[in-house]
Amino acid sequence: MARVKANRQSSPQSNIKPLLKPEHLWANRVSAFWGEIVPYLRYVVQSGLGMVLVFGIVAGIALYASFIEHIPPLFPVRELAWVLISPLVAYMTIRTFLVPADLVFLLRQEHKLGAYIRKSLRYSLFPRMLLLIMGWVILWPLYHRADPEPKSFLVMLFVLIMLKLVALHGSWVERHISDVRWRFILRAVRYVWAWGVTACWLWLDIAMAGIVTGAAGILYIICARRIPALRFPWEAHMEAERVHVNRVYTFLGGFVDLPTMNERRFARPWLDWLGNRFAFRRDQAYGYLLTKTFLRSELLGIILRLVAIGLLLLWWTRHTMWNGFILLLFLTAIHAQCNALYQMHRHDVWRLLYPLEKDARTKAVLQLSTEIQVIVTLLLLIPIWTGMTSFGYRLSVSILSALFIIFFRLQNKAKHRKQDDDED
Amino acid sequence: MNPLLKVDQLTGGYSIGKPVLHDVNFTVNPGEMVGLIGLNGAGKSTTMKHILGLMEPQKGKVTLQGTTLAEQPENYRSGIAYVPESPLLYDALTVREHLIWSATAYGVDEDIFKKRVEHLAKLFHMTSHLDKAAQHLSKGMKQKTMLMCAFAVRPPLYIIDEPFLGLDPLGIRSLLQFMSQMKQEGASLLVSSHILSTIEHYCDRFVLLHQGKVLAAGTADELKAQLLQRASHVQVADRLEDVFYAWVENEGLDSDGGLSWHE
Repeated sequence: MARVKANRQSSPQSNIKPLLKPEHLWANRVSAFWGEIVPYLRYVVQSGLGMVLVFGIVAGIALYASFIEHIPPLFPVRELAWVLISPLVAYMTIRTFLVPADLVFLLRQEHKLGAYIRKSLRYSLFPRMLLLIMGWVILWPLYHRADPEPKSFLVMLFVLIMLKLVALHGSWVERHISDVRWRFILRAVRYVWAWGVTACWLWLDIAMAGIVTGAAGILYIICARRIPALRFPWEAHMEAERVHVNRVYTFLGGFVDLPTMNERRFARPWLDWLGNRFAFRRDQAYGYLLTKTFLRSELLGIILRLVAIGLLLLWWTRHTMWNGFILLLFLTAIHAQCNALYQMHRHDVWRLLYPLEKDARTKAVLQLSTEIQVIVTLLLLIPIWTGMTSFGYRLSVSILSALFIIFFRLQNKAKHRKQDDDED
Repeated sequence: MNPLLKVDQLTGGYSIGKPVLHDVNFTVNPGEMVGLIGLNGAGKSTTMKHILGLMEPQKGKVTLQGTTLAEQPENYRSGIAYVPESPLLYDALTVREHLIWSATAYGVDEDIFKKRVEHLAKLFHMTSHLDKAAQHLSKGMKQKTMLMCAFAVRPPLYIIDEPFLGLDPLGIRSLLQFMSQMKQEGASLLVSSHILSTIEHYCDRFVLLHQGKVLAAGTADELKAQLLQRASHVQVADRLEDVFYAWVENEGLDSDGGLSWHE
């Protein structure tokens, strides 16, 4: 019976069926994506990340509860809510699971894909909306107690849901714009709008906030609709999918050995000199390649965002002894991100063909990874050294950071030398 | 004359016990261009992979300048530049950066590199595209970038898999012109191609592979003579390409290298 079922599943008819009915196609694509990802998730769990997260959540809840009981006077709760909620309102990406082959096989069915796209929008909105609601629910006790004139929980919840729906609409319109520059401008407008209207609802009274937000929202939607757009942006959908899948694989690559995919490229010509210093130095050939790749990768953006958040938190805590813990936490997070460097160019054929030492790549990755960690640490130490803590404490934190970097380097050196030997 | 490359009794493939190549023998001499020809699945790419060291021979050996890859890996690698059938470029890098990366890996001096790149870019009409990201290049430009990377480092042996794929007629002419120049300067080239009419007049010798075996080898005339014995209705005066097709027809082969169903 099982064999009969298996045969049926692999018959040409059963493979073609999903392509003919959009609802089936959507279910098929979602299950195919998760079917590919789920087997790797056990490596993520095994890595200890799950434990760290659980510990972080438990410790976070305890600290948060204790903080709510002793909120300092004049605590900048509106600023904090603004920084936390605005990105949750603005962030919106739409997953369609369309693949390049669809351009050939689904193009003729474009007019029938309405149901498919509706499912795509619902699928994309649900987790992001949930994240926003969770953010508001978690923030509410603090906001309610610390804000001098807090607004009703339900009013704010309703408003945030409405704002998120407008952000979804904006993101959907952006996807249809063929001109890259206009798409970029509209995306920037969405972010500015989201931060602006969130600020309105935190600082202004309900009536004024409603008027300003409503007017801004309508203006934003009208402007977005006036820009020339495609009827069905096949290529933009596929590019967005490529970026998303690449992000997922980059994340998983930190836990399990996966072939790297084509990364999204950010030109950043002002950073070219950092890679050029290795040109024509044979012992630094991989230094050249890796530095160039890193400087144009999404990884640099992630690290810069982490540094910016770290600096902000360290500035707030610069007079307290919490800052040492935060610094080491961010250093560990950046070290974890740097693990993605080890996947860069790992499976390239040129690594086997070019006349370079067999461990040239690993040496270059170690060097780059350590350089990044040293620079990040020096930056993060600035607010600590400007604080009012004792000299001995600040020195201890600096030494501990250096020890962390040395430990990370030694750990990676042993791990990746072994991997290189195993591959040989 | 000592051969630059010697493929000696090479038997190999992806799985032990099921070799794709069977006792393949041929040499490439300094300053010589050799065409590796055959139908799809004949073993051309597998042969190249063995020469490049991407596959381990099950029997026999490959030597370059008298040494194997295992004996002197860095010297062996320095002696070869490879151009794959499909361009393998990094999305993050520009054309110029690909050239610098190759030159750095092969230890080319910066001043010499600049002269070479200037010449190559003009030859392949790529001067205005040198600072473009690889992901924004057309298929032909990607292939030209691969070729320029190989020619910028000037090793003794070039291994080029299907060099004309994606090139426009101007690009093909520039490539043939440059390959001849390299040959005159003493470099050797091992080129696999389906377009026999293009390489017939440029290659000094040919190796015809069929089902993983060397079916015939020699100059164009020698190869024709060997094939004529198998396909008697063609003339010696015919082009190598015509003789080759006549042989394919006579043997009842399809383009996959197997027997046609109607035979």
